[in-house]
Amino acid sequence: MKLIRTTRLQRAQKNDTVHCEIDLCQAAGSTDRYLVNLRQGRRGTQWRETTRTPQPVDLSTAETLFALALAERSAQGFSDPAEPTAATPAAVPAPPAPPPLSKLRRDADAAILARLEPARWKALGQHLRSRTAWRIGERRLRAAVPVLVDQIERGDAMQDYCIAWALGRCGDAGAAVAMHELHKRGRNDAIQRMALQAWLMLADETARKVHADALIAAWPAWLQELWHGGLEDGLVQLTAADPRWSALPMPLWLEQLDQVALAYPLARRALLAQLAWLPVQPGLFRAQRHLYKAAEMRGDADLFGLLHHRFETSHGAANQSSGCHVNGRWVPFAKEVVKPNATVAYSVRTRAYLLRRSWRTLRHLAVAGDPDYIDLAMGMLKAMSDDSAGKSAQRGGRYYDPYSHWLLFNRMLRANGAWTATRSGLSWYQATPIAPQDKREEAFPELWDARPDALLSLMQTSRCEGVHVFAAKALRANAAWCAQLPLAQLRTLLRSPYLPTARFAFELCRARFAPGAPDADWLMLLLQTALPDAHQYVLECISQDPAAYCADALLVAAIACSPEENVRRHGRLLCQCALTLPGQPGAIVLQLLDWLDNCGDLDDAETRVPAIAADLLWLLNHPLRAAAADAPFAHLLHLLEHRLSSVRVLAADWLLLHAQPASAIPAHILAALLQSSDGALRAAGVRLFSSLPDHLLAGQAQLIYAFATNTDAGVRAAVDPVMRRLAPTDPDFRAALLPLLLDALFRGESAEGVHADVIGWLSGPFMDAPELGEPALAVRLLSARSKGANQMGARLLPRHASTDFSVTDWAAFGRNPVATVRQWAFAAYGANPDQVRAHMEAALRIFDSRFDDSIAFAEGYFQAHCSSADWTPLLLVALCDHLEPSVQRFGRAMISTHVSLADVTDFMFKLGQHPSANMQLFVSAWLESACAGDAAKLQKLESYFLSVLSQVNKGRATKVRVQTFLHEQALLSEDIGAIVARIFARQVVTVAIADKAQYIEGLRAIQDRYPNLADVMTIHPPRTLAPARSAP
Amino acid sequence: MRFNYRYYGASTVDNTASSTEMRFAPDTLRPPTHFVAELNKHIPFREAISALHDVVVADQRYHAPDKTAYKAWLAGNEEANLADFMARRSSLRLQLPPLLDEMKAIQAQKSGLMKPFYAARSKYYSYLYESNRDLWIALDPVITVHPDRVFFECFSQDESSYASLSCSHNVFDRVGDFACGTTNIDYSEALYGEFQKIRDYKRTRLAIAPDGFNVRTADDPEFIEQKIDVPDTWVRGFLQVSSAMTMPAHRIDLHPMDIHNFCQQMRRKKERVGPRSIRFVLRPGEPVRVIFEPWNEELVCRRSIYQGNTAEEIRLWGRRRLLLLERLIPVADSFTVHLMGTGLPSFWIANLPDMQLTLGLSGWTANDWSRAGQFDLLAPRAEVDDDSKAAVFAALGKRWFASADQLAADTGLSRMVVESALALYTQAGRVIFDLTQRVYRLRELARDPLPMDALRFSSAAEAQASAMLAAGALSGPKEEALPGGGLRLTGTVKENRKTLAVMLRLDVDLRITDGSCQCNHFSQNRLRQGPCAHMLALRMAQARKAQA
Repeated sequence: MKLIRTTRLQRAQKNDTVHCEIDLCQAAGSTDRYLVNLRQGRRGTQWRETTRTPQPVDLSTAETLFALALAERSAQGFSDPAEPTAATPAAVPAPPAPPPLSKLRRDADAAILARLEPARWKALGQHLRSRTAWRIGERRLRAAVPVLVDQIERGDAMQDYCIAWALGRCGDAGAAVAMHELHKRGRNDAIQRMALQAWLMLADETARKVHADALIAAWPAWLQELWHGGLEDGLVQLTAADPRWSALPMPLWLEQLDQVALAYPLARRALLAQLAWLPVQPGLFRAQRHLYKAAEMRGDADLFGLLHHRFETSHGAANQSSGCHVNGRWVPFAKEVVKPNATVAYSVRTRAYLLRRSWRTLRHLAVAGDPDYIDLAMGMLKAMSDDSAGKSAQRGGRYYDPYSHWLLFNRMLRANGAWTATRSGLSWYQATPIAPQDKREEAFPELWDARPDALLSLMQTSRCEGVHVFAAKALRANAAWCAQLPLAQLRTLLRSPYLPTARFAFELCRARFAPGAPDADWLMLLLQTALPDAHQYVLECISQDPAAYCADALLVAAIACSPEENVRRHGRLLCQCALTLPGQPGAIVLQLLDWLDNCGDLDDAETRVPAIAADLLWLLNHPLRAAAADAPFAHLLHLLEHRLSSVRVLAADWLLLHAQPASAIPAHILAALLQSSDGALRAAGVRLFSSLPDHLLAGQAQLIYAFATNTDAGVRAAVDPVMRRLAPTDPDFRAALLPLLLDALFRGESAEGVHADVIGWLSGPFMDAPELGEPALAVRLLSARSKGANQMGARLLPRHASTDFSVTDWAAFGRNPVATVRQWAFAAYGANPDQVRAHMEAALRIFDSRFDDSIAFAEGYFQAHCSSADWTPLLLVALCDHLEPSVQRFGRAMISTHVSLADVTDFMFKLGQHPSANMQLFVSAWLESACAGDAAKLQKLESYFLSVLSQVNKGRATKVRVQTFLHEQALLSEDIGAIVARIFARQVVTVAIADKAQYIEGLRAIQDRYPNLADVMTIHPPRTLAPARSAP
Repeated sequence: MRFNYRYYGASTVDNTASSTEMRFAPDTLRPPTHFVAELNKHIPFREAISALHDVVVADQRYHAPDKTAYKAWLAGNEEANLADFMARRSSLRLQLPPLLDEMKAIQAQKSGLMKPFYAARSKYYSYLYESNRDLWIALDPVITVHPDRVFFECFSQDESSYASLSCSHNVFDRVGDFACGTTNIDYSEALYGEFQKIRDYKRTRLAIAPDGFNVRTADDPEFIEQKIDVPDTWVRGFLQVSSAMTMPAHRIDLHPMDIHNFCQQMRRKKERVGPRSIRFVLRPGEPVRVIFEPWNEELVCRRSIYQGNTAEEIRLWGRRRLLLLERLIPVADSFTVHLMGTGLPSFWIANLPDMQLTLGLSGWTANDWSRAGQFDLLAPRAEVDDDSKAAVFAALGKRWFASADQLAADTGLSRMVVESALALYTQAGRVIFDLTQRVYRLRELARDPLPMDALRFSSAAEAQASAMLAAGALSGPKEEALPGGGLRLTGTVKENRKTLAVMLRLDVDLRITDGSCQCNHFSQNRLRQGPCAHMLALRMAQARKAQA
């Protein structure tokens, strides 16, 4: 295969870049057969390969397809980074010419230069001399150069340092030699370094190259090799992974790289790449500081901005004013920090100083009306990135936004806003919740107004939302210049992921298109913005003339796949319109497929795509149904391997619509879907599976059962059509599945809704199965512990006559938790009173119910239907022995109604054993009639008497009744007296005074009555105490 | 600790008007144990097993209402609400009264409207509550079948009461084939209900069914697996109480009406201040006198003469647990009480016909840090070598139950060694001392041996305190009575070349109420995480002195 042509495209997204490559190549083995292939994806991920030519085509067709693909991708926001974009300065209207220097400035410059007159200079103190030299450097006053050169080494070290700085900045090449000399013999490192920088600035290209080459020659061999290889990536990667990197003397290497960078651009790129991530910490900080000052001197905006941003986003070390611990010893800070291998650096104070210094440099330029201000500010602003911004916060009534702690950002862009700075100027806040402002807030707006091109450049390159807000506001103020911006420029701005910029561009576009309607190409572009206004505008345009826009398949697909729901809704309208155009639905479907292929590249694809996929499915199901059925089958199968599960689900559902039968899907793909861990995907797999021919499905009862009892509701819903289709018609299928489904009901519910679904099928398509008509099954279901089984039993029960079950079953049904089952049981009781009376013991089990309605029914029923003949003593006692107090009450009522006096004694003996207090009270009322005067019977009831009398602090009425009864009985005969005496003697030691008195009274009466009865009680005569004092 | 059971089916009761058949499902993971018989002492058995049930569900700890959600809400909103309120206080005050009146009327109307709903809802909740009643039971009771007796044992939820119902085989008719051993039975609230229906005119058959042991397949759906997480403190309490049984005790016999009188005293009065103890005043040859504090009301048990040789005064706490014996008063012939000492466990044995119900009460009801370090019932009392221990255990295994003398004869070891070995096994929950028969019985509390190292101390601090005492780190412990009752303990503890001054204050119920220590733990946590090891060492030293 021979590559004829390839195009590499990119689309920037907020967090990443999507790459696309389009190839036109010759098919292997034939001369006039060509292919067009696409590859798309993000760096570092697997790219997706698609083709526009399933079969090779001739060259002209291939060219057309290639151009089409290119146009499509361009419309989708891709562009070729290598191609010179419309953003070149030539296409931008020239900015207004800078104004000439003001008189004020000229006067100030003259005043500084006047200080150099010998007489004045002599009169100046050392500090003022150095300061004058520095100010000359700041203002680049070339007239002062000869005097300054003359003053080298005639003052203190600071004066030399300031002179070197000033000469470098003034740019008079005549001073180069002097600087070279100073570099060699300067009094200290700082002067030598500054002199070297000055010399490098003044030296010509060749001298710089010679200097750079000399430095490179001293590098290690492997590094030289890498350098001469000329690969920027190699140099940058070296810093990331190569172990040899750590062996380099890093500070030296960075400073050398900076010097080399003045001659070779490659070194500069490598330097910037490294500084962007190297931490600000001891060991490195010194070099970073030197580079920062060099950049400041040179006016190197990019390097200066980058280093400033690194300082601003790196925390300073805790403030060590007096000293620090080094190797366990306390060392003065000033001593430690100057050591070559210092372990401390970059304290909080240093950081604050550097941040203020950056602003001071900028401010001096701006106050002097120097146009360099804008260039340097651009470097600063471009280095800022949202990645390192903070978070909005509210503390102590102060409101902070993500940029509140960037000193320079606030000084430059918010100086005239409603912001308050803390005393240090390091944090800026508002006292009220932060609201976006329409008015401009930046410092020195007039300087920015003079450079609209710089603002435009910021909009194109900045990675900081706050900068975009500023640039858009500032540029909007320059309406005349904006009006001249070419459309191509607006196009790139519209694509910006930053809303303020996109909105700015949209407003301009809107103004341009005002009377007429834009073409589909522009609408595509507007759609790609994140602006709701732009989308609204697109929708308005479309609703004015949908027929015209629906002819563009790309636009229709883009609308149908928009992340905004209201935009997608218009996709439905467009698709309906497209139906009238021959071939258009097919084209739209192909575009949709292409979008689905690549939607994984979108930001937040995982959250955004599912909703879009759901709407796409509607389109495929309705207007595009016919075209969807003819979509490329292989392509759909390919989509089943998509990264996003929502796309896979959509693909599976699409396959259901496809003209190809489900049996054409390869078995392994279906199996993979069915085994997927994602519930929705599994459900889609089951839907596909369900569309297999009936004869295939009929043999898969176990599999269908597994789906039918799956924990995922979607899977169960997917298998529903199979159940409804096969169960009524296929007896074998029904016979195989029915026992399994019933078994599922008896087991615990694995997920909510499983039992409900199974019950739905059993009482739907399976209802006619003869097995469901078995009374035994109903009994089993209703007596099961599972709620689902109970529910199913309740549904089956009405199909049976009450005579299908025994009275025991009726009673069990009467206790069932399902109310309808209980109702059924009540009806059965009501319809067959004779049968109930014949099996009273079984029928009375209904009283075991935990439900009030059953008890109420049973009480009414047995009262109405049963006569004394039906109530045997055994049954009545069993009723009284029931645990439920209400049933006991009923039992007592029945005893009172139906028992003859002859049976009372027997009842007494049995009920006397009851542990409840109420029953004891009940029994006490019958004592007189049951066992009065009969010693044997009383003897038998002794345990009853004991348990009544031993109640602690309760059962007063019963106790009194029993005590009185026993007291009376004791006097009837000696036998009884002996029994009662035994009971009373046991109880008499109670501390309950009333009881004790009763017992003593009883015992005394017994003893009086039967003096022969032994050991009833012993009466001790009261001891007579001798009076304490004898009477007088 | 996690206990695993596997029952073959659930325990079932087949109840008709004339007979009751109870089939208990035993734990099939344990060695097969079964027992089938008919009951002949119906009513006493019913009352005894009901008392046992009362112990199983007993929980007399104070349960504070859960306010975490409210506290969380308050933390988030208090400041803002308060600020808002303060800002508008004066105007709000004026607006408030009419609004309150209006709200009162609306609420009255609302409560009228909602009343049926609330009633139905509360009924529904109580339905749910009742249907999950089995969750009330912490751990299924243990049943032990021995050649002469059958035991039912249980421990209360509040980790303070132990009960054991020991039935002679005379309680049963037609005892069939049985296999000795110990097992857990599947126990439920419904079973308790069925016990209430036991009558002497109904044939009642108890069966610890051997079914499950014959089933081969472990995945038979009839198997019900239960995994019960039991707090370590619970197991520890159980072991402590059974370990206390082997200790020497003062024995007194009480008439059932004495227990009745105790219960009466507690039923009629509610104590609002401490001390909440019973004070037993024992004088040789005199009736036992019992003083209920704080009222200082004295009950004289005239029919119970103390048979000991020396006069004693013993205080017990957690006396409301004695109400668990209330049901046994009419059926008991007498009660035997074993008192180990002030604050130590006590055992109350109800003597029923051919049955004994032993209620063991730990020295406290609340098992919190205020009682920490008071007693160390699980401390090894003597050193015994492993061979002797194994020999004693094997000898007991052959007989199932034996006195120390019998085992000494069997193994040829001295009585002292045998008793020490048995005490160790008792502490480990493998042997139990039968207070009523005065014999040791083989009874494995759990299927697997219990981790004694983990159970020995309730906390790391307690272990540390014990080690400190053993190393003699505590010096100069002093006790000083406080004016309102209670004690103040002081001492110094030496640790890592530092000497720490420690102080503890105990209230009238001998609970730790306050204290201080110079250690880091105390200065960081005060008493929020309980006393530090140094305080515990001081408390232990005091407790040992008091017991000595």
